[in-house]
Amino acid sequence: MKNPARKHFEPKLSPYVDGELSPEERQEVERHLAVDKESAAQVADFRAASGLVRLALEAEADKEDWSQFANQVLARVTPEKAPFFERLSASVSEFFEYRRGTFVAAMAGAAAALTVAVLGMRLLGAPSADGYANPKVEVQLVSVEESSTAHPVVLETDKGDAIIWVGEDEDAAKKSGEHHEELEIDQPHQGEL
Amino acid sequence: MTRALALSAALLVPLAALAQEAVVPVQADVVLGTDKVAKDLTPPMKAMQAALAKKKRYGTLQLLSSQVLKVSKKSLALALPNQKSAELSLESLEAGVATVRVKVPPADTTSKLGAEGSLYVHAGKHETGDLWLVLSRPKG
Repeated sequence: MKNPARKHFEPKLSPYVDGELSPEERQEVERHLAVDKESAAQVADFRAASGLVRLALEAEADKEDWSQFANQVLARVTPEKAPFFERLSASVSEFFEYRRGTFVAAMAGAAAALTVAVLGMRLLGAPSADGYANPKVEVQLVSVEESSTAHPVVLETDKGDAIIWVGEDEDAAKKSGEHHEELEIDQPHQGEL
Repeated sequence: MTRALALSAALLVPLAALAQEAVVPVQADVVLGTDKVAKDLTPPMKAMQAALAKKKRYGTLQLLSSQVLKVSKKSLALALPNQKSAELSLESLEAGVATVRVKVPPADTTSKLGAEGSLYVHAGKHETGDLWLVLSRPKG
């Protein structure tokens, strides 16, 4: 016949061995084991059995090749892609955190290059940069609206002037004389010189 | 280093584009020519009288307005006293040579500007004479 204390503690012995009791329960069981040899022997049996099971499982595990286990698991894990703005924000903050020198150098380089370019344009291109590199005025094209009866006449002078006269009377324009100096438009409404 | 160069280039392209936005200053005078004989003409008007003499000899040339316009790709309107409007725009600026388009209805002209000389564009009748738009390099 079991004593009442052993009857009370017997269901807790296996959980005790497995480490499943609370600290208070664990202390109570340990006090009981100190005075009850039969329960202490049962605990020893439990531990021995547990050790055998562990050894058997380890032996089984040793039969398997676990060298690629971690890589295989990681290969199946798909990293979650962060939202675009989050990645952008991370990239920008990382850039300014670790590449500030590069950014400053790039800005300085750009400013220097721009300065050189502007100065070069001013120094090298000064005489012609304002649009008047051509020695004299040259008329390229003269046309009149199709609905108009006007007749354009182009003249040039020795001093580099160009005159565009738009006469309403076609015949009068043709009779105006000095044809050797006039670059008269052949077509009534449009011409290219 | 490569990234620094790439960043520099990326910064330079738009800045260079801004720096190269072409604007050409043009002296734009509006002159009225009539047959009425004037006692005296200013030297610029005398020069214009001589230039236009190939087509017509005006007795009087009166400067109605004079201004320096900043001509660019964007069309610029210039109101004329005969209710017409002249439109000026820059067609191109290559190797320092500006090609401008001048539209004075009914005419539409395209010309290269020159260091010397002026472009005289007949702008129609006004009062008892002819109106002229004179484009040249700004003085000074």
